[in-house]
Amino acid sequence: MSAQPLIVVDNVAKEYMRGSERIVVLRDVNLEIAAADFVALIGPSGSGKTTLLNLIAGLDQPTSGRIWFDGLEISKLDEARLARWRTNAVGFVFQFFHLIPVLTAYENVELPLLLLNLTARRRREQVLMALDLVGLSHRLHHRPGQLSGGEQQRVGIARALVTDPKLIVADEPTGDLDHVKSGEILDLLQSLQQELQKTILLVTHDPAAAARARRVLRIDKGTLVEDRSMHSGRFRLFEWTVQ
Amino acid sequence: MVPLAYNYRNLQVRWKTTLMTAFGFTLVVAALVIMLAFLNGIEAACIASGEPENVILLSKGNQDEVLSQMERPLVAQVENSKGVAVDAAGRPLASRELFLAVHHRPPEGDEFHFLQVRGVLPAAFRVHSQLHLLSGRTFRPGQSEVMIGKGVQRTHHFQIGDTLEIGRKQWQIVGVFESRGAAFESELWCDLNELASQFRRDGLYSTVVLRAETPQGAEELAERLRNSRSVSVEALTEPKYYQKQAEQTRLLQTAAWVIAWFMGLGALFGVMNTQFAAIGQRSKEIAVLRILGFPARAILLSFLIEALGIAAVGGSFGVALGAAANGVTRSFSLGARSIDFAFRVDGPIVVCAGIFALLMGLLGGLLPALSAMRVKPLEALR
Ligand SMILES: Nc1ncnc2c1ncn2[C@@H]1O[C@H](COP(=O)(O)OP(=O)(O)OP(=O)(O)O)[C@@H](O)[C@H]1O
Ligand SMILES: [Mg+2]
Repeated sequence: MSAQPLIVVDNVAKEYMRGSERIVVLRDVNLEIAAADFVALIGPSGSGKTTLLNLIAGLDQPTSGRIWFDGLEISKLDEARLARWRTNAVGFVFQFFHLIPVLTAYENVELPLLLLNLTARRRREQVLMALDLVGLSHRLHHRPGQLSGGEQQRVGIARALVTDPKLIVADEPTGDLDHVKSGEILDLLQSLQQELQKTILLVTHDPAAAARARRVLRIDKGTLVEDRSMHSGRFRLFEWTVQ
Repeated sequence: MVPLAYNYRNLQVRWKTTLMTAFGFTLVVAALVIMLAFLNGIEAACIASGEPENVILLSKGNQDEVLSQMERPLVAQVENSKGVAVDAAGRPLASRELFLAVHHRPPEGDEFHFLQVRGVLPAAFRVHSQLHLLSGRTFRPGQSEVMIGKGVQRTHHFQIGDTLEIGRKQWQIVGVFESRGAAFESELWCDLNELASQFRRDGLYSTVVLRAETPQGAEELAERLRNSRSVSVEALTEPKYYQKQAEQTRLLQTAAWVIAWFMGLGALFGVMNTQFAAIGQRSKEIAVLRILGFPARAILLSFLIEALGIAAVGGSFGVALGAAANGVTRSFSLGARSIDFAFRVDGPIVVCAGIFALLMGLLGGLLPALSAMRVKPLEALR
């Protein structure tokens, strides 16, 4: 692992107000993620996995604490800057794919590129490359409705990687797929990390999915309770409240 | 910017709703085009009536020849005003005219209607230089003969040789004339003295039309007569006179726009409703676009464009439908007289109706688009 982590989460807390009641969803989260790592985030339902992923991916701001990405403090950015940063730095893969139904696979993948200053030709090259990487070169002009669930998720992955972001976040990307299709999607994510050096942050319930990661974080009631490096077989248990 | 294909295909996918919503715009725009073409046609007919060299005189206090009454001494005096052109024989180019709206009962059918009859002398044909015969001949002095404008022929289907019962006499139609679409085409012309004796108007005239050498001369002549101390008349150049007549349609114009706005409001709420429903169904898509990095204003613009698309589709059909009225001829009563006109759809009307449709689309699309812009991505996806 490189000395300089890609992501640094520093003492982050996230609270929501429901009426006058304060709900603490995350507390005292400290975390570093190295570039080109494959991290799985697991934990019971409602433990705060999605909330943490959203903070790291710049979709939400922490109530307190700070988050850096590649040396940039993203917890300080305003909404417009954050949006621009997301387009460049983060690729999103969703549980329910969330492709635009009226657009073809090609057009769906092209969407994020429209936000960058690229020539049409350059866009085309990148879209074709991304769809080729996920093995869908023969489905360019199909609409999501004409694709299987697995194929749709591969379009989703192509859309996530088409801007060549450093980080790809995936919240339960296999939650809506059968065993075989899940395996294929996980293979794909794994190859993105291994071959393209993408940093992957995977939220999952599925132990088999978590097993693909090089590092597994467990979260419970809003605090990280376990951090395991799979490749080295080491097992670390932190008392996260005491840094 | 969110690609236009996104809006286009969404409109296509829900094509039934799109067309139904667009139909609202079709109706408004068609109605607006027809109403404006109607007014435009009337105005054109009025304005075509004026010859810039001519000055029309009316008795003091009257703006319309229907009510104007001038006596012979006054008429004789004004005819010799300075600035009135003269013919080869040195006589002033002045047309004494008696204008009457008379009852007429057609032979079959028992419905009375009004005919506009103008009694003139031979000088009239030199003053109203644009008038010329289409068929038949002119009436002979001292005879109960009339020539009819082509508008009259069109609306009443009179033929040369027909006789008309006007007053106590039978009048024979001897000719048909046209006058570049002017109001005269809605009239019957006959001998002044014959008409006056029929209706006991001897020595009375509705108007005298004086011809100047030039339009400039006509302006000056009118000005002089208006301000004259020795004669008391109203004097206007013909174009001004007919323009004033056309101004009577101002109220109609206001009414047309009021109607259009009310109908437009219907279309506006239609598109608003449709777009709110669409945004409700697509809030997850909006959320995803925002997560990918599309700014709020791109979402706003995208949904505005979609509403405008509906308005544009409906509006185009409306313009096409309204334009079908172009050239249709009708007769319309303006004040106490009737005028034959053709519906006239022109560029400004099309542009006006188009802008109106887009404006309604924009207003109707704005609230939904604002709500689309405010979709909170994380909440919409949860
Ligand atoms: N906007 C919000 N307002 C109030 N409470 C919220 C909000 N977002 C999340 N929460 C709460 O925060 C807690 C953590 O939510 P989160 O979605 O992060 O859980 P999760 O670990 O992803 O669960 P799951 O496995 O079911 O997806 C939940 O109790 C949830 O109800
Ligand atoms: Mg979750």
